[in-house]
Amino acid sequence: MAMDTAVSTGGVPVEAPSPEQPKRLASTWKRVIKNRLALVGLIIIGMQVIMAVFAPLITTYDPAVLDLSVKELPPGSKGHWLGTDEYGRDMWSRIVYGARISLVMGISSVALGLIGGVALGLLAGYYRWLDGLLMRVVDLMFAFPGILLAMLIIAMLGTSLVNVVIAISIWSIPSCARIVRGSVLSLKNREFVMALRSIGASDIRIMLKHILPNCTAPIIVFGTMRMATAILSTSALSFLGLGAQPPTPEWGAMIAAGRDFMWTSPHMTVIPGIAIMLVVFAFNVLGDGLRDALDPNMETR
Amino acid sequence: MKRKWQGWVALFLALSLVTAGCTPPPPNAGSAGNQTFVYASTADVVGLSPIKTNDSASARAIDQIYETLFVRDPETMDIKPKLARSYENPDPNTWVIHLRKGIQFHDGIPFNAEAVKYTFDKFRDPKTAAPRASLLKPIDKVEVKDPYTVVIRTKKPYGPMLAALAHSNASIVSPIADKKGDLMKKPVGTGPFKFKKWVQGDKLTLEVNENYWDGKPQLKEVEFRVVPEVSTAISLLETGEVHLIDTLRPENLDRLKNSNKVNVKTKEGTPVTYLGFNMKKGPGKDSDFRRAVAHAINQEELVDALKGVAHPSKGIIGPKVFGYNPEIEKAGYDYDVKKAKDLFNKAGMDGKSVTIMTANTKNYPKLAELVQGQLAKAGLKADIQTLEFGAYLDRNRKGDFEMVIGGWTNSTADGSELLYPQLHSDNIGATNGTQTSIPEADKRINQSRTTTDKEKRLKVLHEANKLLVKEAPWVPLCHDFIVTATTKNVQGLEVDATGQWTLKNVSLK
Amino acid sequence: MANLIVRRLLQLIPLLLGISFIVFISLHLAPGDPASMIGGPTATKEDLASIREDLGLNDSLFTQYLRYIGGVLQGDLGYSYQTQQSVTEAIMIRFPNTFNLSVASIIVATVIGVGAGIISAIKQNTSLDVLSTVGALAGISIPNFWLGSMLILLFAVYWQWFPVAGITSPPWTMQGIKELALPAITLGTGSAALIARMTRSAVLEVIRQDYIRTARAKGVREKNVILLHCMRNAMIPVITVIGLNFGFLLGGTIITEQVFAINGVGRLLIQAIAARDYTMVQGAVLLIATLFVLVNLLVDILYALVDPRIRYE
Repeated sequence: MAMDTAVSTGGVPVEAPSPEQPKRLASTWKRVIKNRLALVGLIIIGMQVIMAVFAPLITTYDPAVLDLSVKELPPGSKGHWLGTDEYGRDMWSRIVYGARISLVMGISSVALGLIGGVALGLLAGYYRWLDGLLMRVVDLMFAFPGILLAMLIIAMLGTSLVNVVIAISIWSIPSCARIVRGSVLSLKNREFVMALRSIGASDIRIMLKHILPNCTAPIIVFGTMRMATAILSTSALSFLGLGAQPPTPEWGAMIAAGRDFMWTSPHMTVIPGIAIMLVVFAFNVLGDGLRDALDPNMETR
Repeated sequence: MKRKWQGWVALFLALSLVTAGCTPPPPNAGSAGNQTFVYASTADVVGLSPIKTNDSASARAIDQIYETLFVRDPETMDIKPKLARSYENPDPNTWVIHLRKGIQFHDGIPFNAEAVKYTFDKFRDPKTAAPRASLLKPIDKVEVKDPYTVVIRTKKPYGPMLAALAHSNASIVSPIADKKGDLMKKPVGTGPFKFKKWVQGDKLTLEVNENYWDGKPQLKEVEFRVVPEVSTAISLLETGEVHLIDTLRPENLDRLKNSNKVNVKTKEGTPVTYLGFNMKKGPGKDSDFRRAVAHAINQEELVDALKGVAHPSKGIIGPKVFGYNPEIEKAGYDYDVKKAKDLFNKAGMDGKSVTIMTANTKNYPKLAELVQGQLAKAGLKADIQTLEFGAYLDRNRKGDFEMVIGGWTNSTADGSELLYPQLHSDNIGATNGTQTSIPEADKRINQSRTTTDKEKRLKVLHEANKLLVKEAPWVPLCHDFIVTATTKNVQGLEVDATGQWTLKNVSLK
Repeated sequence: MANLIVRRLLQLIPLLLGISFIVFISLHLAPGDPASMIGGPTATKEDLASIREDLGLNDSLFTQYLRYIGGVLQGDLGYSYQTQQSVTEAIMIRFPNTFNLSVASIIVATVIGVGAGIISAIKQNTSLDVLSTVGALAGISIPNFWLGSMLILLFAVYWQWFPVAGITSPPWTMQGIKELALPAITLGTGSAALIARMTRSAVLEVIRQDYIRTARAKGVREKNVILLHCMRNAMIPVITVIGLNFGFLLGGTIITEQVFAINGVGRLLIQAIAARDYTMVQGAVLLIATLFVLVNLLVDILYALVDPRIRYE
């Protein structure tokens, strides 16, 4: 299940354009690194990325091939240090390939959601006449519990990870749109925008070249935290039987399948559970760290 | 600074403890004394009218409230009279059924031929839109000969008539209650338990029918609770809050077998699970391909992986279904990866891939994964597509798939009622999802339906079974075990091979 | 204020129309229809045809939608295709359970969240801060269906402190509280983390503000300073989270109700979607959307009460 992170990113202020972008990036980076928790998050995410990229190199078994002769081995078994599942598939391979899936799922659904949300937010914030209409659309999307929206979309389009991505990205749009709109509203009457307009810059140019780069901070924070949401939501949908198709080693599907073996082979549900927790945790703390780092008023020390 | 915050911490802890309700645990809600029996169903009871429902959760409740003219013996599966006393066939198109006397519906009106006529007429009326209307479709007319004799006439002889009349949906309802009220909400039948209260989606309460004609039941009340998650239902069983569950997956059995509070009973059942082909388009049109798949399937391994909730049989009509003949086991395809590979080559399918559609319910996803693994060994790549049940049903009807894993519960336990709906060309576009149309098989299925001669029916059903196994529109994956888990104190529960049970003789010790 | 309320309620009408239209279209685009589910796997072509006729599914989509909306405008949510029960009645049976569960989970979330948030703010950058931050974040990171199953196994089956599942007693009785406890914890942990996070930053902000310094300087005891000023300010994040996450909470109840066998609106929805019970899905979604808008309205009103600086045009 997922949280609405709109609230927690709302505090990030929007800054005027600064010519020294690289410098700012570096200082943000330093601040994030200094934050111990965010550093932990970064390390976990880094590990996930490594697992995802080098999956074939660090595993010896195909995550989808059954071998019923070795089913339900406990962790520490010979050749399967994390054990095997009910079909004798290597848990380590499944976790590693699952890292790839959760990363891809998270990135693609967040990216799609951001595109939609940013577009809506920019338009609504910039054009006053569109604002009312677009924000009503956003309200409409808000009033729909995300999981319900996902269930409807999946009932309509069928069960597959692609449709889960669509569902989750649509679900990200309203919060993102609100955040962007808020930033745009505070930016568009600033002097530099007025100046650009007076020299005849087109609306699109102003929006994309000048306003958008100045709302990146809240968008980055939102996107990071939304990764956590997306990963959790995928697992929730898998729990309802609406997510990954077998034998895809999706972590949520693994938990759901493993729950029935709680008494006999608890590792089948505990290991993917821990994997999800760590990753979601990592994105959350990183998001937190980024927010603090990007907020010049929040001097933590 | 430190001390000042102790108060806060204490308050916080105290509050969370209160919210978490950390109070002394109560002893088990032991309901053994007052003889209230609780059954946990994973699905909601849709309604309580046998005429207007067609789902197993409703059927379980309906079986306690209503009765049918005939029933199956839970052990032998032979059909014997229940509300009927006896019957005769003066000619193959006429069924004269003599009814028991002195039986009353729960609302006090007498059970008689009028009630039977009313029920069946209502059931067959297209305006009623009974979901299972097809069950009694072969009936042409129902006549009342005298108050306790009813005559059922058919246009063509109808072989599975008694099996149809023994089906839950053919239960007899009180005509007065149906005319006055809504049986979906306030059922009135002749059964051992009568309706007390129903909170939809939560709990249905039945109470004993004091005037039950066939010996008063021992239980005082029966509760049907809805518990959607099987693992939650098992927890309820272990803590004694529930006495019976019957929707167990193989994964659950290990947990329950180790439990000292629970009895698990299994018996061979009628439901069959199959891997079907689209016979009209795609690779399934090619009989070499179908034979290849049949050789690639290792039924033993599947049954083994299902940990004793399934039994093997090569037949489409399985051992517990009327029409089974053990010779079928020799007629099936044996597990032979090499033959499978050769045949895939011959069919031009080696290295190609197919999609297997299935529903996200029951054991289907699990079986799909196992089948996928077995096909991979024979060189065929299969993708699995699990759909929610509604979408699955829709696409199955339309024949919109390459291969499918599905099942048929066969609640009449009669082979005709398996082969006709599922594999007869009449039903393409509805129940015959594989769109099988094999004239030789159609002919034998028709024969099995249009004769009332039991021996002849057995013979043609076996022939049809053999033919279909050879042609292989379906590769039978396994036949289900009926699994019930009860608390140790439950006695006298009789479960039949279709999964139907009655609580009439049940008691809690 | 009255202006705000009237305006919001008026906005509700197009919102509900929009939602009902989207739900209607998406359900009809989904494969299968109520007749198909009522008929089940055994239905023949004739069976399906007579059920469709009976349910009026042969009419054009437009006619069906108009018929439905016409009913809704007269306050009639229609009848369930599947159970033939009145939709209003079906929802009313289940709504109290969902409501109690939501409220209980908000209580759990508030107690844990505000507590952890204040502690970590006051003890900023100590191990206690890290601990409660990590704890709160861990709470948000656990898939709640998994947490629910684990809680049942530990507290209901192993220790038997709580009933396994279901709600049988009203929430003000001891039994009712016990029945709600595990599901409320399952559902509340996620929001608790958010509340903790927001409380922490709100309190930090307050601590730095001048009037706190003034109060301290005036010699008011620290505990009282924090209590008076922080609590009031901590209310804002709590209210915000409740408002913004109400949709989430209702979504969360879908899964929590499933795990704990609670007969609520969320589970009704799962089943209704699965059964393609158009009217039932519509009714439940409209109810949820209306609630969402009303809760948010309430939140805005509360804002104005808690923080006099906030004004509505």
